[in-house]
Amino acid sequence: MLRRTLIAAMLVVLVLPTMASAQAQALTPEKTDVIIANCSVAQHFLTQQQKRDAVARINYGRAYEGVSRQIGALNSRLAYNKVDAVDAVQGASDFRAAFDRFKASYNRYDDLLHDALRTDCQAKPAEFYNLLERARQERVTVDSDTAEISQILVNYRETLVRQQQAQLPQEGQVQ
Amino acid sequence: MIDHSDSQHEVPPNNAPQSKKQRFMARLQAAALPVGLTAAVLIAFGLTVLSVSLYSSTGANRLDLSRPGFERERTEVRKSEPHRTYDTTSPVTPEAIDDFLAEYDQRLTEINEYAGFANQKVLDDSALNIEAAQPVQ
Repeated sequence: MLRRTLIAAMLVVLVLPTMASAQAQALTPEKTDVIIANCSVAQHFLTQQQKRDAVARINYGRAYEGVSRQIGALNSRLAYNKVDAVDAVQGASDFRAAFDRFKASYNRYDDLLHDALRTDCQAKPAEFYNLLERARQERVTVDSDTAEISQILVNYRETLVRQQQAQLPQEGQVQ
Repeated sequence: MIDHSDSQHEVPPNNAPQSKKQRFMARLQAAALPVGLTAAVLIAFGLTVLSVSLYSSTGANRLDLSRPGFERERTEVRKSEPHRTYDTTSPVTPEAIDDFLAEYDQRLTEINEYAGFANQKVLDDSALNIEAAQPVQ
């Protein structure tokens, strides 16, 4: 585990500067000048966006925790009553995994934004822009994670309705 | 005249030669306060380091809106719902599922109303005022 972490860290150290220099080459002199000129304005907007996104992350997190408790309770009730609920349990498991991915993606996004804010964009415009690009990509991932979670929750609902229609009437009032 | 010279050199029973263990205990008692204080400071320092590292490693620091500069954001955060206890042992009836779905649908609607990360234009060059075509101010 430690060896893998070390190898991953070495790869990051070796690959990131290459990526940064590739991005630096992509920056035109005109673009570099604009970044240098509007550095503080850009960082101010980024700070504001970081705060707004923290609020969004907290709101999503609280809503997901609430729905997670509700799902967990129903699954416990199904298990206690010995109702076959493999799909429901799988749905809950998928939800937890997707929620964890969402949290990890947000943390990566926030780290990148934080790094971009700490970078002196007047002295290192290419590095700043590279971090900004990566933060944008990670923010897309965060958004797709929320979409995936919504889909999992819809699927869980469908599973439950199917179960209600198919299994419960056959078993009558499950004791 | 009574000569007290001998009685002056007499060693009282309390000051009788001590064993190694007794000497160690006496020294330990004398050093108890400084040792205790040092230990307390070290333990407090260790616990502080542990709590700060947990604060950072768990990601709580990212979501801590009690920090200065987050006054406006604090008002925008959705209130935590009161902790609700669910019945996990009653029979699973169609009515129970309906009750579950009513609350579940309400939660889904709420979640789908959030669009926190949907707008990707907020990090565009134009939004950050670093668009190349834009005249430099």
